[in-house]
Amino acid sequence: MKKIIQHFGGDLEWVDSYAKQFGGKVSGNSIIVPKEIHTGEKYVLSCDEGIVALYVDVKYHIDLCLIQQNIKKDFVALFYNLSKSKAELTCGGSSDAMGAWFYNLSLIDSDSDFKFDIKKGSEVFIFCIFIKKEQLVLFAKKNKLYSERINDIININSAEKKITEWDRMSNDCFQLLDDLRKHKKDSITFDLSMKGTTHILISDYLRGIGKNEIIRQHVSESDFFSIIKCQHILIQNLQNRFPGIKSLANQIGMSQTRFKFFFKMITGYTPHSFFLNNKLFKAKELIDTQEFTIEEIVYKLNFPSSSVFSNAFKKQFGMLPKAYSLQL
Amino acid sequence: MVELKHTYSHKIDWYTALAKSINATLINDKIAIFPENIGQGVSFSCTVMDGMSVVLIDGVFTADVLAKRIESDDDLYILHFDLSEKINMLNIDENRMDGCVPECKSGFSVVHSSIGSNLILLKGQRVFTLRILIEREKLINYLIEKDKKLKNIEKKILFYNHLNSNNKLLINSLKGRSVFDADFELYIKGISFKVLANFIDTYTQPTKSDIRKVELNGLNTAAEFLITNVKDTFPGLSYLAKIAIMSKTKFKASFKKVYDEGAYSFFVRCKMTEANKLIKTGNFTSLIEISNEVNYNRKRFITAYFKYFNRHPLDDFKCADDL
Repeated sequence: MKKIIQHFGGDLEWVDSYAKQFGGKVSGNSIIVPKEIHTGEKYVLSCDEGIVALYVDVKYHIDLCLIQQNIKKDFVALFYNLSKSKAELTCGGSSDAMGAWFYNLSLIDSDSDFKFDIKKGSEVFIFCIFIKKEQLVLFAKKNKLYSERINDIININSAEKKITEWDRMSNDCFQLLDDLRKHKKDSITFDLSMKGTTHILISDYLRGIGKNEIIRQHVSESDFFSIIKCQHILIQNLQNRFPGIKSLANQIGMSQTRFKFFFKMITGYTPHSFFLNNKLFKAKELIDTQEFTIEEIVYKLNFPSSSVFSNAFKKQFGMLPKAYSLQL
Repeated sequence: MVELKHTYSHKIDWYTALAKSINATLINDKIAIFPENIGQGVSFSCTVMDGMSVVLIDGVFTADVLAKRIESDDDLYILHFDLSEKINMLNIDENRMDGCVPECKSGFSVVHSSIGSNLILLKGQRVFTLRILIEREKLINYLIEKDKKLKNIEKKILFYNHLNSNNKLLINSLKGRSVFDADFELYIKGISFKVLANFIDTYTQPTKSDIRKVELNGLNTAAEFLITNVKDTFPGLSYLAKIAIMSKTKFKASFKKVYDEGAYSFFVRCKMTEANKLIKTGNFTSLIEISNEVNYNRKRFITAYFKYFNRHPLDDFKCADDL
């Protein structure tokens, strides 16, 4: 298995050596890697002072072991992982499954080394954001963001504790990244969209920090994965009617009350509102393609009637679907 | 009517000066809380990146407010988005009525800082406007750097007032946030980047196909039907519309848009090309045979043929015989 040792940073100094490690080169903002290793896109962009984003949407053609050993220890990294394939991330003694339907958001301190095992044929989609700690300090001070967790993350002389967190990203982030993925990398506005996405993602993360919540602390791992499985089931059945709490709870072997409670805790939505929210985003996507009429979308996504759909769409997006499609 | 006078520039001075002039409470040089005599609400302004900043107004006014923007030498484009309940009036400076600012019916317009403008904010409704200020040179350089063909893109920018749905959604999402949240600044920056990206996308590629793929497939099926049945009589618009799975009116209009002619004249053209082909084969001895073959009576066939090829079918017959 090929081993690649990589390091990142809150500026663009690491990009050249990163490309060299893969035997590739840097062209503009793209990192071009030989096709034998992977095909797809790797795009790096400096989004603001001390904030760098790396967009990875690739398919690996060999087994790889990526080891992160940072040279600079002055930043934190946020990994948004929406890969279809599961990959093992080993950090310290513990190992966890990462991917769209496992843990898909991790915050890792630049001081912690980790190992990422990738199997041949895996499709990997990761959006990484590297933020310099001093920028975070500045930001927290400027915006009066006081929270224990932000102190833990920022803590520059953190000899006691290196922060590594595994979590699930919110549905909004999911949709945001999905949206970015649809943009063509060579379009003139990709840079702007990527900068926008990065800012909104960081804002969303800090919002979570402000609430001082880590979901994983309150839920056992098996319950956590059951709920994620259920989310997956719902997303795959967007074209059908809502299956009902009873049926969902049965599928993952939980009592209805427990299921409802954990679902809300982990996703922030009730099962039905999660389903409806994603269904409406799917509908919006279909409208964006300009291939279907509203009536066809209602039929395709199994909404009870077009007025029910229109009302729900208006409630979610603030405008009627027809108005939306006309102004595209 | 309360009158607010201000200019725009990337330095935050104009914002603090404006807040001071109306006795607004200023927090962090970003958030201005309106005094009670004007109304309830806030304004937010911050720099998004070098050469780009954003101003947001969100509030309910107790009196009509006239925000008078005085022209300035800063070379800025102002993207003005108005997502209030009722769109507020935006006029250009009375002294400069040269019509450079289009009416802002859609809730979006682009203004240049060298021309002053008046924005009348209506009382008693939620006013929600977002303005992105961007240096002209930076915007144009960005576009040219990415695509050299966009060199002359600037010409119509001041007349562009299409509010893209996605931008409406993005700005609407700001309505649910509080400017006092610690993460608001990052959020509005992100939204501003995305709004600008959307604006550039729709502005640089304004033509979008208004015929959907499904419809196009339907039209192609109908056209193919006409080509294969060229020797029969015209099946009628209703029948063709049925094949294309759309209404008769829609079929008529879409067909013309795609093929640049009506379905019937398309059919006649096919018939005439077919007749021409048949003549050239030399297998036919008289015009009657040909006209029968393409389902015409002789007299009408000659007229149609003449109209289409500008010559008598017999001329082609002779040519075929000579060969």
